[in-house]
Amino acid sequence: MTALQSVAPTALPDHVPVELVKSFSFVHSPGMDRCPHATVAKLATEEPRIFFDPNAYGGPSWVLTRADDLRTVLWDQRTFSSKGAAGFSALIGDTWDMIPLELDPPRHTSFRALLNPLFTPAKVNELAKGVRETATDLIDRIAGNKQCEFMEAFGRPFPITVFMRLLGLPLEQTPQFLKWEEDLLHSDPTDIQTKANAAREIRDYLRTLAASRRAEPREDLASFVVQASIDNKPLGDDEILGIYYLFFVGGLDTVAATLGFIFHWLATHPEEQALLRADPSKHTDAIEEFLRAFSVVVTRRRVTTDTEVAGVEMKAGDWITVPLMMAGLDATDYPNPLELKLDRSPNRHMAFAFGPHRCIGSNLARREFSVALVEWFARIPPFRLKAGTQPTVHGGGVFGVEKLELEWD
Amino acid sequence: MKCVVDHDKCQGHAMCCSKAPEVFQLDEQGYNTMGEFTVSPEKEMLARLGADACPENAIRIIED
Repeated sequence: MTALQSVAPTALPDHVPVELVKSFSFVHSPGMDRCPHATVAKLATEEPRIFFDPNAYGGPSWVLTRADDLRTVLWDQRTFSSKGAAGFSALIGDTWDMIPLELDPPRHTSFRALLNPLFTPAKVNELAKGVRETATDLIDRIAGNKQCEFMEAFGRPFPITVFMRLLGLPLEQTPQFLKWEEDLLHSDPTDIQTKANAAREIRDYLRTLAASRRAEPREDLASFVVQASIDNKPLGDDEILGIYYLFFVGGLDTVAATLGFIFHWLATHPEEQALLRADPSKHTDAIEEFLRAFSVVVTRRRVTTDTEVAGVEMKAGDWITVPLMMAGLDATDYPNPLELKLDRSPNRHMAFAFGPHRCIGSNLARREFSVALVEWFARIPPFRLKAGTQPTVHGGGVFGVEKLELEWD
Repeated sequence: MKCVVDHDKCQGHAMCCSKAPEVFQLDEQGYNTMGEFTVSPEKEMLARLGADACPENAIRIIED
C-alpha cells in the first residue's frame, strides 16, 4: 500500500489542480506508527513533488517533499510567513506569538539579535558542566538495573532538566513539567481539551514566573528575558511569555524524540554501537548523521502573496506543511537515505531547519546529544532492545519515541 | 587559497567553526562575519571541510 491515498476533491480552492490533491496523515497513515521516517521517505520518491492535502492536521495545506522546495520556502520569509506556525496560543484563544519562531521580519530579526548570544557555541560551553551533571545523575540511577525504559529514565527527563536549570526553575517541579509536556504534545491529537488545559496551565505558570523574576531578578535566563529591551523598550508581557513558551516547547520534545531514535538505532546496531564506544572522535559526524536520518520536526508556513513553488501556483493565505525530515531523506542529496553512514561528510541536513529560522538552540541540542553518547557509553555496557519488546514510535508534528525498553548484561 | 563568507547567507549554524575552529570564528551572535580572507596553506584542507559543512552554502572557496 502506498502512503498516499487519493481523496475525493470536494470544496477545493479553485487554484488547486485536482491531480495535486492527495491525503497523507503525518499521524495516522499506515507505517507512521512503526517507522515514520521510512514511511515519509516514500513521499520524496513519488509524484507529485508538492501535493495539496485537504485533510491536513490543522487545516488544508500544501505539503512539500523535496529538499530544494524546503530551501525555497524556508529562505523567503517575506513570501512565506511563520505567523501562527505553531498555534499553541490560538488553541486557548490567545494571540501571543512563540518568539522568535512565529515572528517575521523586522521583529524576528530584533528578537534573534537579542536571543542568539545566549546559545552560541561559546555560551553552550559554559553550560556544559550542568548538562553533563544532569546526564550522569540520571544514568547513575539506572546503571545498576541492567534494564530501563529509555524515554522515562533519560530521553524525556534529560532535556527537561537542562531546560529547567537554564531557565532557573526548581528541579522538584520536573514531574509537573513532564506532565504538561505529555498532555500538550503527546495526548491523542483529537483530544483538544487535554491539550488546551495544558497550554493554559503552562501559560499561567510562565506568566507567574515572569512576575516573580521582575520583582526579584536572579542570575537565570528567565530574569534575563524580563530585564531585556529592544530599541530601548522593555519587552511586553506577551513577548516575555512567547520567549519562555518557545524555550519550553522547543527544547524538550525535539531533543527527547531525537534521543529516542538514536538510542533505538544504537540498540539495534551492535557493531556500530561498539565503534562509537571505542572512538569518541567519531561522535561529531555520527550525531549529524543521526540528525539527518532522524529529523523530527514538521513545521508550517503561510503564503503572504500569490506565488509559485516548483511550478505549483499558491495563493495568499494558503498553508504549507514543511516536513524538515524530507531534506535528509531526499535521494537527490542522499542516495539510499534510510541507510546510515556514520562518517558522512558533508552532511547538510535540515534537522534544525534552514534559513533565518534556524533553530536557535541547535548548539545546545548538539551538546546534549554528545553528552548523552559519552556518558551512556561510560556508564552502561553494550545495550540492546529488551528481548521480546518493540519500541512504540509515532509520527505527527514532532516524530518521536514513546517507549524504548533497553537491557544490558 | 581564499575564503569568502557571505554574511547574508550565514544563519549561525556554527558548523564551519565546529569542523575548522582554527579557520573560522564566530561573532558574539554566533554568526561567521569574516568576509574575505586568505587561508594559509596548512589550513586549506580544514577550510574546505568547514565550507562544505555549511548548511546554507554561505562559504565560497577561491583556489589560487
